Amino acid sequence: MSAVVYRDIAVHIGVDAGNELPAQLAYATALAAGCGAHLAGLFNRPALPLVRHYMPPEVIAHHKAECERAAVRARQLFDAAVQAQGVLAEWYDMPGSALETVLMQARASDLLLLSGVVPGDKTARSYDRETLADEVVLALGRPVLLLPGEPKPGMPKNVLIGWNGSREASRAVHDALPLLLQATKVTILCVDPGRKHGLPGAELARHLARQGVVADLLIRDGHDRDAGMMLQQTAWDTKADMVVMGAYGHGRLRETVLGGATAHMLAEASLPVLFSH
Amino acid sequence: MAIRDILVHLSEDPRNSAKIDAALQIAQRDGAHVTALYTLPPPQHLFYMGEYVPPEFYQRQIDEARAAAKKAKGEFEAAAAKQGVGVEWIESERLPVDAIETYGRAFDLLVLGQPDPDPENPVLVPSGMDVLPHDISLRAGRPILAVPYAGSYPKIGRRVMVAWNGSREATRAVHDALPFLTKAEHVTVYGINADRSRGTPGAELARHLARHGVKVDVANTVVEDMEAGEALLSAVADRSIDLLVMGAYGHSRMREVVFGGVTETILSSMTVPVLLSN
Repeated sequence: MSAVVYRDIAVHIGVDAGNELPAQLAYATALAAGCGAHLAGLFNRPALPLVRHYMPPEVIAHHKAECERAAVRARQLFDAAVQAQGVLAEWYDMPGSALETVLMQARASDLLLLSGVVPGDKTARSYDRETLADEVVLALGRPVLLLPGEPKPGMPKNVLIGWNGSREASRAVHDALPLLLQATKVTILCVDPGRKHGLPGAELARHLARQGVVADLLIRDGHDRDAGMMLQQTAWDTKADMVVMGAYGHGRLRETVLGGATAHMLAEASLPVLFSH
Repeated sequence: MAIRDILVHLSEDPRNSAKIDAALQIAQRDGAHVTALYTLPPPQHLFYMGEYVPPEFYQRQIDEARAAAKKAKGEFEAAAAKQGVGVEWIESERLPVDAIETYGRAFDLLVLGQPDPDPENPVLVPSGMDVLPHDISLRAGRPILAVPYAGSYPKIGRRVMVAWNGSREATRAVHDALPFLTKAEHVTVYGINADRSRGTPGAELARHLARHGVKVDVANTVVEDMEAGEALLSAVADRSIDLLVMGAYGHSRMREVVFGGVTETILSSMTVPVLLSN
């Protein structure tokens, strides 16, 4: 049996998921159906932040009721999406923070789907989504697919790889292989390859060919522009429907990627981005 | 993912044939290509030599290194032809750790040798070779198969043990090992203090592996952190394991001082091939 497949996909559903949730669940179930994978819904009920030593019972009761309300809604939407696609699914409803829940459950998955920052979203959040994505990508050991607010459901057909020859980029490409094998078009973008000593994109193209993925190689001059901006521009030019890239250490990931060009990709182009570390 | 593209590191090393055998064995099973990356030793300048060194001194070292490379190439190509495996040959003058790290990113598996703790001729061992598998596993972003410095391993991956503590590194290792796990006759998920790390329990991992078609069982043990390495080694021996899969831990963070020690213990005392990932 070939192992170039995802068998288990997990999707995290925050207790504060908003109007974007149905579209994100439709994407998750379509992806699971396309891959022939099980879908695990990971829902967490965060503890009440302890602001005083004494917490009035009404506050505790209210917090519990809100968690319950969110859980019921998330479960209903999850079940509806699962039934619509006819995928096999599991539901995990766990106490604890989003980070704890995801690290506990998603390491036994092939891929984790996580909601990215939703554009124009002004809701007060129980956690910072950028911080969560940052922590999860670095600590999980599995690829993380960050979802935009309104992803178009369906298997990715046209995938763009951001390649700089780094350890993280290599991880991302290998983690994305099951998706690359099913795509009709794969493009490798190298920005200013002569400047660094990393492995050239042509070597990656040769390697992907051995795996059965035919990829186009696109070499672009960055003109000192941020690599993330180049990736965004190229995603637009090639009409990519998914981007695959390496995620670097704390801070760098948040500033240059989650905060910058990737936030735009997620927000304006509605492009899911697969990160690996 | 399937293994289609293997890189094996060769050098002036009496254990080249063991690494070649391991790489070809896996290539034949999976239908992969094998690329040999041969690193040439840099010419040595000896400290007691004066300012003038006759050019012949360097030339002779270079000639000898090239002759050794040519011989290794012949042996590699002959072994591959016998098994019908497609091969490529890369010769590099860079330091082994740099060359392997760079080239390795476009391969599915890197086959390296376990450092010989007591080399016959220590003068000839290039610097950095003693920690090569550990270093590369942290830097390459690809799985490493470390082949022991002694013994022969004609059947790698029939009985596999996964060292599981629920961590990011162990998660990486087990997923990188899937091409081995799906073909193994038997896989044991060996949980070591897995409940302490707040990571994924071994039973959850076993369920996930079963979905990939892996025949798996779970065993758990609780030991002192400092003894985890020894516990693993004796479990490997007791269960006739022929491939150990484990996460590779760095040296920096506090948590990793302990696990990094486990990686070092295994790499210095291993008796079976070890698949390492970070």
